[in-house]
Amino acid sequence: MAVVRAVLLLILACQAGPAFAERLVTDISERQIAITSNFKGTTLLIFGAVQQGRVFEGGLADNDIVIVVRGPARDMVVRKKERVAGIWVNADSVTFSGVPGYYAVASNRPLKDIASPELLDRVGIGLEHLSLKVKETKVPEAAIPAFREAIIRQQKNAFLFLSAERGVSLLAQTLFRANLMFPANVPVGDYRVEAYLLKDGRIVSAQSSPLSINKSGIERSLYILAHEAAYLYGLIAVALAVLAGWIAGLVFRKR
Amino acid sequence: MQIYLPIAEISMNVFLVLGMGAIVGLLSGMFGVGGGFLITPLLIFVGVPPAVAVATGANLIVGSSVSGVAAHWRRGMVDVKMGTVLLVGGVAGTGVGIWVFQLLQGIGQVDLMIYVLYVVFLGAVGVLMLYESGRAILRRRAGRPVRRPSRHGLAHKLPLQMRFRKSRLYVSIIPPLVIGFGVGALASAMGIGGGFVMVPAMIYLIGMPTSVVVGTSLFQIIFVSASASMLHSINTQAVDVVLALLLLLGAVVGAQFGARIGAKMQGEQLRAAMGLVVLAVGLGLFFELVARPGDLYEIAVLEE
Repeated sequence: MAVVRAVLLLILACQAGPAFAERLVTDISERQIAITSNFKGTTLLIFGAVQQGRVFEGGLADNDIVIVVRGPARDMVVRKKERVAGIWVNADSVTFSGVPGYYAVASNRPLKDIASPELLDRVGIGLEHLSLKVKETKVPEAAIPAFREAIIRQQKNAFLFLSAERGVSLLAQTLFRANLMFPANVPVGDYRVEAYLLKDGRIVSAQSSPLSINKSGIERSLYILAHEAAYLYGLIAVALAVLAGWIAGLVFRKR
Repeated sequence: MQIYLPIAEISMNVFLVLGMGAIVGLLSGMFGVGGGFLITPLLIFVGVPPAVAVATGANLIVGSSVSGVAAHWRRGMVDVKMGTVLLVGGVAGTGVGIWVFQLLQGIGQVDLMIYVLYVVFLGAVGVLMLYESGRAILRRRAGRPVRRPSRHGLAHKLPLQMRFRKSRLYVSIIPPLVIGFGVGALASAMGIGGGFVMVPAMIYLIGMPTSVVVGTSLFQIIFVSASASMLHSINTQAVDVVLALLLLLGAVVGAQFGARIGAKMQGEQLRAAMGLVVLAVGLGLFFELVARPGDLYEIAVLEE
């Protein structure tokens, strides 16, 4: 099989004509994820194919596919607890900017085998290669990595940072698919789904598509009301509470 | 069965929420406490963000105390006049409490403050109530008459005396005003109605009979927690109505049963039982404060 493929590729490579490289064609199963009252999290299917080109930038090397999903970037503060007079209190803190509220990476084999750390750092592929910029801190430089790791560790525990080293299944070097999980506590906002085709440690083709995750229905209305008509929301909340208590009082009197 | 909470932004089991509400309601009806001192730590424990737990707790207490008052009102056990005096102080205190809450939220110490306040107040109140009621129970067993505690305290000496018929008291309104203010400030900062501080204060500092205290405490808690709930809605936008309504559903039912159980108990037994519950919650929180946390680092999203 490999021999046949190599021969075919050789034939194609020898053909003269306009040069076009291999490129990715991808799609995702949903462009919008709606959070409703029974939202328990969801999975997103990302699939596509490698379109064969005339020019093989990576020579005869195998295709590698990496998929990255990035949630809305936010500022995040990490506080370290310290023991003061016997109690654990928040002491040092570091504020990072551009922390994705959700980040998932999937590849057909371990990232360290696919590309160099420099490339992964530059594009921000892989949990260890995320660029989390320090925005504000009084902590010495040497202590920062521990704070950075805390974000990654805790986001991983909350299933908001995911990494699947063999999460992409690649068929016959052409067709690929990956399932990525979104937990129930996934932040709302605009996401980007990125797909990379790598060959021999170089990015040959990249594609990016938007994904939107938003509350819908009554959840959305309540959230908007709470933030944009806070007085009205407050009054409604109190009125509902009084009503519920009063009705319960009536119900129990009749018994 | 899971339900997504729009403000807390997490998904929770409906029956877990209902059950937590029922426990809180039971205590509320029995002891005249809103139950916030229990629900806020419970909510934080199951993963609700602390700010949402505090604000939603305040909203829950509105409903559970309305339900509790309804039960006590039918027995004529609400001193509206005393409740109103406490309330005047309470509303003023609420504003101060919210201001402190926001100040601490800004410097990232709000969780610590809530914990320390809880531990200090729950511990002190629990120990005091257990001590006093334990002595009263022993005295009754020994066949000696039970004195109403603190009959001639400060409240009888200060000016602005007023008659409170339901409580069978003729006292100055200054102590109730000050107590109301202090409890209001505490309540809004901690997301509670302040009942567990108010009830002992009414019994020991003002000298009201236990039977009237429960209903009267609940009566004024309705208003204090309603204003705290309003202020949280406006300032922190952290009241989750879906969560509050589910908790309420459990709580209002629990409150009715609680009021029935409470009515069958003697004053000092009721105070001893409340002292135990208060102390247990306080101790639990104390251990959480001094035990080494599983992860020394804590992350939080900075809202714009």
